[in-house]
Amino acid sequence: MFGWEYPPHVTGGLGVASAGLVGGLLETGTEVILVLPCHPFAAGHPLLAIVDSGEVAAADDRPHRKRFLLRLRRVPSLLRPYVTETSYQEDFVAARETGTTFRSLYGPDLATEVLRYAEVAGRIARRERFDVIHAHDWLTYLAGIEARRASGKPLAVHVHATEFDRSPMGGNAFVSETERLGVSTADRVIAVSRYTADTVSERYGVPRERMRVVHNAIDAHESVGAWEVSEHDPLVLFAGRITWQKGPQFFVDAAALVAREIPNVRFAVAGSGDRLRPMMDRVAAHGIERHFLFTGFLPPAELDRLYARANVYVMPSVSEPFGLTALEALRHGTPAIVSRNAGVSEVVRNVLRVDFGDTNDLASKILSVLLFRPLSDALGAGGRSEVARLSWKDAALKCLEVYRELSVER
Amino acid sequence: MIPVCLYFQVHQPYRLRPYNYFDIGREHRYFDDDKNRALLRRVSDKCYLPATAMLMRLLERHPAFSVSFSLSGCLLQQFRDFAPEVRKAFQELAATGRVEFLAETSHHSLAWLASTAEFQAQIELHRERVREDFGVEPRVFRNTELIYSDDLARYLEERGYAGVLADGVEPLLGPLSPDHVYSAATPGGLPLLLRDYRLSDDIAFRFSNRTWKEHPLTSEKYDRWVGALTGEILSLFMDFETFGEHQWKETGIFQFFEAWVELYLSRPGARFLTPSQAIAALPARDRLSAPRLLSWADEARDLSAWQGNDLQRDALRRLFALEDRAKASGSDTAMRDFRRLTTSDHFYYMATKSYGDGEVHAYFSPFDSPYEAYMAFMHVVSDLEHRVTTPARRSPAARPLGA
Repeated sequence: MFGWEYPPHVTGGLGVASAGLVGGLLETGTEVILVLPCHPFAAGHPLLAIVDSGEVAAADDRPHRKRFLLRLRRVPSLLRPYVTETSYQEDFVAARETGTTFRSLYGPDLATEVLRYAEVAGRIARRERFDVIHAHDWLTYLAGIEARRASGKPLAVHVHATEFDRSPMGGNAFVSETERLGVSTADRVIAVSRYTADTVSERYGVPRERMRVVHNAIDAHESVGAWEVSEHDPLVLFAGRITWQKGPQFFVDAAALVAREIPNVRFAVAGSGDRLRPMMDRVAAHGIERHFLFTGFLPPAELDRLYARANVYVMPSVSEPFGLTALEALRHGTPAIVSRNAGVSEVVRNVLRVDFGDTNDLASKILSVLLFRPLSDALGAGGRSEVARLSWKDAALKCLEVYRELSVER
Repeated sequence: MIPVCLYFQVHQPYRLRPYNYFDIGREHRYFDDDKNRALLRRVSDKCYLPATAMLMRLLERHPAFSVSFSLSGCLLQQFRDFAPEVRKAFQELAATGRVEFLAETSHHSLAWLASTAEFQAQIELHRERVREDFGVEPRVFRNTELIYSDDLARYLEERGYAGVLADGVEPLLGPLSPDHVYSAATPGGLPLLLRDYRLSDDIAFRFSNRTWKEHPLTSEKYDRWVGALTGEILSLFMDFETFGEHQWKETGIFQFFEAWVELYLSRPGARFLTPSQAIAALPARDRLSAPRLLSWADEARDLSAWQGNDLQRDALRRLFALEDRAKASGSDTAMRDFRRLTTSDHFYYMATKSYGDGEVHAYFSPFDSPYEAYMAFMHVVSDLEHRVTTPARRSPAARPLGA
């Protein structure tokens, strides 16, 4: 399995979902060789082997460029799982300054890293014994293709998002072309929702019979304490990367309408991204700064405490392949309002749905949840019990089904 | 042959328009006239017109055929506004003298669960409307969705009704057959007509179900089942919309029913009785008690379809908290809107049962989810509250959490 993010380094849903799925596969007794660009940590499970591709590359300094058959033009842009204009550079600088474990593999040019990761993948594939290759999102598609070529084993690519979700105009050509190559080369395409399967099939022309939907899941966990911030004020939460895709401006516009009706309402924004500054500017333009709390990126434990404290979680994404944060909120019994098209609404019914641009409706729903206790209780309890029925093991079993299909076809 | 008592419920609610928080205090039109008109036109074309025509043919051909209806007041008003020819079709049926009209609340409401005064007022309104439209006086009562209990029977007996309808369910009957007239657990033993839910639902629910082992249901087969009954009266109670709306005409429901009536009436001694005739002609058997409220809805046959969750209970409580103020306001439109909101359908749309029944609820709901239904209803109730309390003044709809 080729992944890009894995605990303890997780910046978004891709890392959470890969980790969840690996955990689910291990639970079913499946052996997993997880290849990561950089992971100087122990695997911590007898069935799991983690291969640090950086180590492999460093150990083997022979020139290997000739054996790498993929020829792709590099673009001089800074890329990351969630492509934004400045975030990668910011992360890079921050990591260097704080001396965290980001190493040479994460260079200033992510395209280079993606290609180097792919090169090493071929050698790893020749060295390891396995039955199926599973690659998560565009960053690892080239690695998956290389491994498939080197080993002759079938490839499943797992689409957690497409470039069309991340950017208004289809975004970065290198990314979208990599995605196109990945989904068209793969023997199976696994999508995190029917919504995403539709996107892949419409944008990249992948026939539906080669695609399978495996919804993300969430596992139960210990309950945590709640943040004790202004306990008596209603709290509305936005959590996630602050990017165009997540619709932060709709949250702010709705907040302005809500604040007019409930003078003591608070809005917490947990996360960071290239739209953070414009979001703050918009809050200031509405004159509602005193209602807002920007926490920056929060580690999972802190975010959990915020979910537990919030009275309603809002996810007004423009395009949302899945939306794991909604499940995280519901796990705490916190009512969620999500975009109508979000993949997550394919697996839970106890949520309120909005058209992301309809801030009037969004504000009305936030107000309804804050004002009508029976509504908030029903959404919270209903959502919590729905989420309790989900498990990564079930998602893993569906992946195993895909692996079996592929083995039979060989 | 066992006599047959046919009763059809005919009702359409005033559905709410999309109504959000910011409409409170600004928009006093609550109901979606366009949608209500369009739906009534559709149901009229698919069901009311062809089904009344079918019944008229049967009445003309067979002196032993008769039928009864309970038409809700909100539907009779919508006929006047949107479909006068349907009203005329029912009037023509009434003119045969072999069609009985039953008493109910004007608004197909849940008033019995919330306010005796409002319940009484709505029965009076309905009685006047039936008298106006059909020139008859209803004598037998059927409550919304066959909601029934001993208390209701006692109330009706005290007001001189000839009888009451209920569903022939196990909690009421125990091992007894529904195919008799029974007595309510009241001082005077008010006659009780019970729906034979198996034979009723064979038509109303199962007729077009391909996974049902009896599918396809032919009139011959159905007639054999009826012929095998040993009771004194077979009560077939169902929604009139069964014909052409719940069961599309393509399923053959019209032909099936007409052919069965013909076949049944060809048997010696076969005849149809209206509820009043059945009560007058047949002895009232065992005294049956219903200490708790029953209904004909869903699997549970209790109130859970309308009062099964906190949303539904909250909505009914909040609405009826306005009853006295709405009456005292002296505003006809406020009172009219209040009454239209008492209709059971609004509460049905808020049901959150997730299995089996939940699918039936979703099929009938104009809303995306039960939560949407609750929000629209509560915003409307908040606006109505402003209208009947402090006109022109605006205050929050409720207290925020934690405040």
